[in-house]
Amino acid sequence: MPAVKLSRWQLTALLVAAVLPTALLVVPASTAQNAGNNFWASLTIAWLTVVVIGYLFTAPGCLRWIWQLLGRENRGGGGPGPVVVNLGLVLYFILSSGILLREFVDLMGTIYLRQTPVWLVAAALLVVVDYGLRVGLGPLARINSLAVLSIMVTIVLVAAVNLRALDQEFLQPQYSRWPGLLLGALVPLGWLSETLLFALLLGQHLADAGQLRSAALLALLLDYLALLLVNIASLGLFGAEVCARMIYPAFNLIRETRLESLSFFERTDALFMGVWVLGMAFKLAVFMYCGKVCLLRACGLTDYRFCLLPCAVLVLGLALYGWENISALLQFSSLTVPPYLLFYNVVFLLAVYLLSRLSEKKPEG
Amino acid sequence: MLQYLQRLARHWRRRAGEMSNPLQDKATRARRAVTAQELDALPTTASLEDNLELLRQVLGESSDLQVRRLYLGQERVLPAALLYLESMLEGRLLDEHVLRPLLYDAPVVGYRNGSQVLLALQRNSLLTRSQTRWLDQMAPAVDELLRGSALLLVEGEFRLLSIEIKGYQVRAIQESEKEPVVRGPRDAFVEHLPTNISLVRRRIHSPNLQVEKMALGRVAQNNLALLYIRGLCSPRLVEYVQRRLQNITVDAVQESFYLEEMLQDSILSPFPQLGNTERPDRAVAALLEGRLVILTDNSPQALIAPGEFFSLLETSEDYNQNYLFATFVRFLRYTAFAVSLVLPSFYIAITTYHQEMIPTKLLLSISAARQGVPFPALVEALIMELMFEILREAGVRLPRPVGQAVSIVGALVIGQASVQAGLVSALMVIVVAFTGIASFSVPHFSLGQTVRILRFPLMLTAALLGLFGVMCFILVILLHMASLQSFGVPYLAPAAPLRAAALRDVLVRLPGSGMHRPAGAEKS
Repeated sequence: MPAVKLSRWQLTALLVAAVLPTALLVVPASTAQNAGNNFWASLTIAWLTVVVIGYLFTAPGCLRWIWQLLGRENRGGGGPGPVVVNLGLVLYFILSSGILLREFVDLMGTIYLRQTPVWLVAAALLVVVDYGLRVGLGPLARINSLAVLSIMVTIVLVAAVNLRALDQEFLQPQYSRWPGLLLGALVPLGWLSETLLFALLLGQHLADAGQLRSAALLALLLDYLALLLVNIASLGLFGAEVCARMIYPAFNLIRETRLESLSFFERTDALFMGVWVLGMAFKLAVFMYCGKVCLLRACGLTDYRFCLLPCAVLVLGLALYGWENISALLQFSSLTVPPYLLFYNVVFLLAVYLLSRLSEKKPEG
Repeated sequence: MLQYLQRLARHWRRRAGEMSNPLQDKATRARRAVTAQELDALPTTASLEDNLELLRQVLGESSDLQVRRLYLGQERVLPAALLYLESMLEGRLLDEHVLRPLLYDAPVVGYRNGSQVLLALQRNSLLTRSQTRWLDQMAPAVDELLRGSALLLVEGEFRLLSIEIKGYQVRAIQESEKEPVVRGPRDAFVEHLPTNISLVRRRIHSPNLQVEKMALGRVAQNNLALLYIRGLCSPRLVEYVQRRLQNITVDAVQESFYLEEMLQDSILSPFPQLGNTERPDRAVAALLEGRLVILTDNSPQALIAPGEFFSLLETSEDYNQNYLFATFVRFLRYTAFAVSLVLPSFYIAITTYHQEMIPTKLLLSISAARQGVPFPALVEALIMELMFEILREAGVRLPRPVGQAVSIVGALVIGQASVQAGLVSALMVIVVAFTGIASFSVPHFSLGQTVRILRFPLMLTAALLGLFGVMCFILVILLHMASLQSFGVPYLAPAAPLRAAALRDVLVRLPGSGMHRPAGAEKS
């Protein structure tokens, strides 16, 4: 596998891409449900918590121990520890990729491509992701850094366009819902915590390892601001109660967005969908890349290209046959996702750190 | 042991003597080619007749090979001979600058003996040509003869005098047809390498402008020149290009595209990875940006390395007009590039899958226009695109006056007739025509061809998966472009990897100096 060197911005953009495309869909409804108009406080709590954990995890002392077990280089066969840890992560990435793909194709099939077979949409996205992985992390990171810029610009644009239409009443604090703040913070905490795992895995490609912490914190800040803007726009437009009943308020928001100068277009959401497709493709690519890297480290291999097709078939099968329909998937996600994400992105990493410290080996460097 | 080795050596010498010289055997000579190794091994001798015979054997029965026998001096003459290819030199120059000094001026100035004339020749004090060289090997002598020099062979002199006296016809410098400009120099490269080098040289009066010549082609040994400015161009780039050129195996370089194809880092990619131009001012601008220019004999196209994507969308006129207008035109060009790539596929995707995006009034008129059209949007688009491409190809292949008439009449008549016959809708004709016109705005011809090729799979994915398919295909194209490198420089630099400072000469054209950015400064 060629050594890829990422710049700080490229890593930041990859971390944003790994979180934002799906967090944008899930977080507004969840925070509206639990925290109501106080969504901003839930989001802020989640963000600050992840920032603190991220700050600790990316401390050089902690990083060395985690990398010792996660494997900075492909060392394969260095005892059962790295093998178990990396296989655990492979499981996480494959399962998450399957969930992501299913969410994506169901959304596309429901809203835009009603007549097109779901498997075709899923296969098309996987082909693109597969090609991206085939050309390598470098080109992926380069295009992703542009894609993330366009996503951020789109979010700011959508929020700005809807600014005048927002109902201030929907944004005023609700003192009766303060107890729901922590519950509301749980989902964004889960999504934002994904940044930590990806930062630790992809950070090994950073040209200057000292920039890992700033890249991770910048990514968290961008995620937070993007989520805050979308939440303000969604909840300000529809109100917390309506938002809580919506599956994906962000899509309703985009559907309602009208550009004055383009008012002759009755619906512009298909154009926004184009930007979102970019984000989803990169998110899936980041997940699958990390999964393959962990697989290589677990098996002591040097190139992941041979396992691209089998992994794609596995993810496709999981996405198509893992859940009966989108309702089943949403039901499954609502029960499992926050603890599942928090387990892998915080508890698992903490366990890796402790396991590494308890082992006899002294870290390199 | 020593005796045995001596005997063995004698035996092999005898065997070698008995073996027939392939160049001596006329029948064999007519059939088989003279190899470079054989040519290198041929020695020159002090005998005029032997040298002449050897040259005749090498050159075969070429009818344009002329031998002019003469005697040097008037007393104690020395037999000599002038060999030249009459198709490659100008007779008047030969008469004035070689024969006249040898036969008329030499006795006049007092060189009456043949040996005195030879001595004057050896001192380079007799002939009035600027480039004369004494050669003591047959291979370079043959090479010079084939490139338009005359060879003077003198009895008793084992060296051969090469006199540069080229006089073949070359096309005059004319205005560029492929890259016309409203304001700017009009001259364009021609098919003659020295002329092309002079067009660059007279624009850069710097000792740092380096011109390195080399010959390429197993059979034709065509000349090419590497031009770069010392101090601006990265030495690593120069070394890299030299190495790549030396590794090229080709029979002849008839056009610079032969080199372009083989110099590309990714030969299977549809994207051109080297710039090319027939304008000397553009070549000079590239040199000043620290790029390397390759000029090829017999080709009016200069290659520019590295050739990143954004440099292929620039024209020399960007710097010859007001910066605001230049920026505006640059934006137009980028838009035209995008339109020429995706407009038909967008039309197919929206009319097939995303009708809700179209304003109701427009949707009604599209429906009315498509009323009676028996084909789906994809087939309609393919018919029109293919028709357009055929018309374009016919226009290029036919003689120019006829070609233009065919293009215009064909486009008007066939477009109108297709709509009236109900084969395609009027809107589709507009879409295809606009796409075609937009594709002409792409300044780099090869890039325009790439767009034309990519448009078809893009239309297919649009028909299959709507805007989602278009986005997927665009993403694949972007990833492919991001994976390309042109001589070590990322193809999408400075956008990906993003270098905001370098974008000042990509997205906009700022006023004033300091616009030239060194190529190769971008790192992945």
